[in-house]
Amino acid sequence: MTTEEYLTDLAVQLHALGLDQRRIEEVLGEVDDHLVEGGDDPVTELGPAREYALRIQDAAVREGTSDGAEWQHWAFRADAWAEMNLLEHLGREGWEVIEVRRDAHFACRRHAVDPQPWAYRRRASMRPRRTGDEMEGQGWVPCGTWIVFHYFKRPLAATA
Amino acid sequence: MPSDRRSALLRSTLDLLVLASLVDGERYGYELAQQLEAAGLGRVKGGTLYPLLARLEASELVAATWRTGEHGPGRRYYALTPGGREVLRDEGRGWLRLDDAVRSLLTRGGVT
Repeated sequence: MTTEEYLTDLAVQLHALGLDQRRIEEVLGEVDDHLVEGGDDPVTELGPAREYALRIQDAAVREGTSDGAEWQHWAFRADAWAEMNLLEHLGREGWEVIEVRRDAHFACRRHAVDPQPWAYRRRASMRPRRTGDEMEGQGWVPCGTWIVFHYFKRPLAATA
Repeated sequence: MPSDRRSALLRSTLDLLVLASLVDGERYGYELAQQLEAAGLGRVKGGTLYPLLARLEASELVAATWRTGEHGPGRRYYALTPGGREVLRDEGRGWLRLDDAVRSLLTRGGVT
């Protein structure tokens, strides 16, 4: 695999994991610089792009304590084309969205010892209260809003 | 197996060795890899080094600065933070105490 092919694959994997554009550019620049200096094969030096991307994402997970429990914290930025796939994946991995900040910044937490899987739904609406009432009637809990997109969560066990 | 033991020892101390390598000033990733190799630690692959640097950065033990430069699109330089210096001092001392105890027992066991 050429360096260019590797960097292309790595960019796709990092984007799919929700890293923001600036961080992706820096990761790619750093890897490119390293490979140019060492003249090494990218897969031998860094491992498969997917695994490398996961290690970089995992490195940004912060450990913390709240409510007397150990939590891991992770925030990612996504867009309206990608965020539901990402939330479905992260939800299955035990990530719970606790806040949606400006610019589609999703703040999540995961219990370090006993992560519970979560399901997510997005509703586009100009009537957030009515939409919220409808969703809450089905057991969904609001977890944030971005422009007209309202996000709801509930434990995956309640959805299955 | 000896190579597994060496690799496990390196894994458990690599964060401290990276912090120690930054005491004299900032370095970029490849420079750090070369410095570690020159110190006799063997070749530390990018797949190990950069995720470790990202973890140290997330823990605020190092601070990274991206600089565009003459050498290409840019480089990420890492510098030790006050928190990193503190961890290096405290955990480094703990490691040296362990090293003393291990040396003492191995020497008593006839290892030279």
